[in-house]
Amino acid sequence: MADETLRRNLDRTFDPGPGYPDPLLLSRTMAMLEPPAAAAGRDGRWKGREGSRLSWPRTGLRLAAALLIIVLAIAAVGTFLVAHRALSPSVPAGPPPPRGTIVFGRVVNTNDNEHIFTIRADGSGEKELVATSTCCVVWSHKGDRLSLTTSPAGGSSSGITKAIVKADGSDYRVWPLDTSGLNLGATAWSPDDSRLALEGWDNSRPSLNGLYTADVTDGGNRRRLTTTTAALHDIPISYSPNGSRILFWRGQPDAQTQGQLFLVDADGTHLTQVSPPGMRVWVGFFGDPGGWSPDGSQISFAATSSTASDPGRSAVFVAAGDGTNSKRISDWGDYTTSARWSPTGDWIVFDTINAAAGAHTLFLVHPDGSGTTPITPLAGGCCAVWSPGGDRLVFTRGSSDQVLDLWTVMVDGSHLTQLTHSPASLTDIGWSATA
Amino acid sequence: MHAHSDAGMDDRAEQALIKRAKAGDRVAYEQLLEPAVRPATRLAFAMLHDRSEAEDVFQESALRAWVRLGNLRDESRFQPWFLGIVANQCREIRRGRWWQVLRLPDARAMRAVDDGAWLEGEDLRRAVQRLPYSQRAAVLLHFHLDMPLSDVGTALGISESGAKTRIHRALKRLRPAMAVSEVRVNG
Repeated sequence: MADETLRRNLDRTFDPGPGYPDPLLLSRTMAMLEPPAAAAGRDGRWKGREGSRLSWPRTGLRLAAALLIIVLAIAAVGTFLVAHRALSPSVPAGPPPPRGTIVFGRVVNTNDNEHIFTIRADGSGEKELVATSTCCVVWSHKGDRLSLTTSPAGGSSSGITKAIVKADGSDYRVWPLDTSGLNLGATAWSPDDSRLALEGWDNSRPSLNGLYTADVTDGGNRRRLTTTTAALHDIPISYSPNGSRILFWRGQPDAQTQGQLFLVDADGTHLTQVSPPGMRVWVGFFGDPGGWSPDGSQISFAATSSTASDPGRSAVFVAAGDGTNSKRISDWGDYTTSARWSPTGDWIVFDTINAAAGAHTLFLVHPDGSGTTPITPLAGGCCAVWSPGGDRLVFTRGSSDQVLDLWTVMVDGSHLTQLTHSPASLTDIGWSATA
Repeated sequence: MHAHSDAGMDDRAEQALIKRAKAGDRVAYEQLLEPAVRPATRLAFAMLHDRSEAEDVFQESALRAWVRLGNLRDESRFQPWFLGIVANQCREIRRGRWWQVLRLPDARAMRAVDDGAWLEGEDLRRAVQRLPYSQRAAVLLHFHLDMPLSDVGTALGISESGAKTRIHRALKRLRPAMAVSEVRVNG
């Protein structure tokens, strides 16, 4: 029975193991309960949270503290306004408004499918790029086109291929499905926008899994660059700035923490592992785990080295442009998932858990490991992408992975701006200079 | 067949315990709570995938239930109500650590089910974690804890048909290659 199979699979998957729960859990819990007399009112009815360990025992003290906080807040705001007014004549004009267009994938609640949207960097003009469910959108370098992944026949078993569309949403062209059944997924554009690096896979013939390149126009002149063992998947991250190498992720398709970063020459030679052996690199929800320095001489990436007591132990690394000599440049942190070089070359933005704030947020660090700076006043920020000029970042922010909006912020933490106002699951963010 | 862990406690006995617990009887409350320890921690573990955090959730939920016991309506059963509190507590925890939740682009997720079988192991865990909260809780309560749909509805504060709808939607995402009609959702 299908449902019994699901039951069995769930039981196996979510088996907490032997000795669980702790046999003393109930007695420990009961010991935490307030005495009934404290929890019950005179009439025997329960009095809200007064019996909880979370309750504040002195309501008067609580009110006094709240009043004090309000008074202090009013005083601080007043002081700020007075100071700001006094200084305002000498304050220089603010930065120019953000320019360009941001693309992103949004999971639409009505059908739980991903749809691609664009929005101008100043928050205006949000629109759906193409009126169909696609995913994995990537800007071309010139910003005139975007690549998408689509299943033209409407089902994964019928084949997945690429589509190219102009930046204004016109001229949507789907590559013909591969006649041999090879699926074509994640993408990176070559620097001259003439070729795409592609993830190719075939579940029925996993020996075909590997990294491929093909012409942008129609997927022609396809060339295979890598082969894998054990049906691994090679997912391209980006070409080097001069187009000679391709940075890619290799791992199990759905085991995002099990992968490693590799480099291969654009002709398929000189395969080199970039991430340190034994460490793992994330790919997927958090976007690209790393990228190239603007001059192509170095690569930044985030990698995880879990321990039993610290499963999120992770850091930012920098390697030489040939993939060798990777070294850690940040302190060990929790769940660092991306490290992306600024277009100006002087910063790497990365995300990790801010221990002080208790939330995942964004940090900057110089490529030599100095100057680590949280981009305040952010909380809950993730997955930042640089503006083309390198003065701003766009990132996701929200209360959960399914109620995210896009925000932008200047590199110095100022001009925090909410771009979208339709909380949803967001992914595949890109920023082009295209107006 | 539903293997309720609170099976054996008849309705009258349970209602008597609830009445005593509402009046502040800790022993009665412990007797109500005892059959819920295992399903509650299993649910919390499935939602959070962390043994220690799941036990914390149980404790916090037990404390919340203790002070909110007056909200439990007459003739209502304790365990579905309590598991609803547990599920809500898990949601609060997950909101605080959303960055650990993984999600795949749709095309990659679709590949995992091309073989026409139910997802298993790590794939299943990730797929379940990707479900919206309400669907995730409904699937785990029904399939993992063997709760009937009526109790799932009680736990989630929705109707029985609403619970069934959520489970159907979830099943599509757990195995899109399989027609939902092939799956029997027990009432």
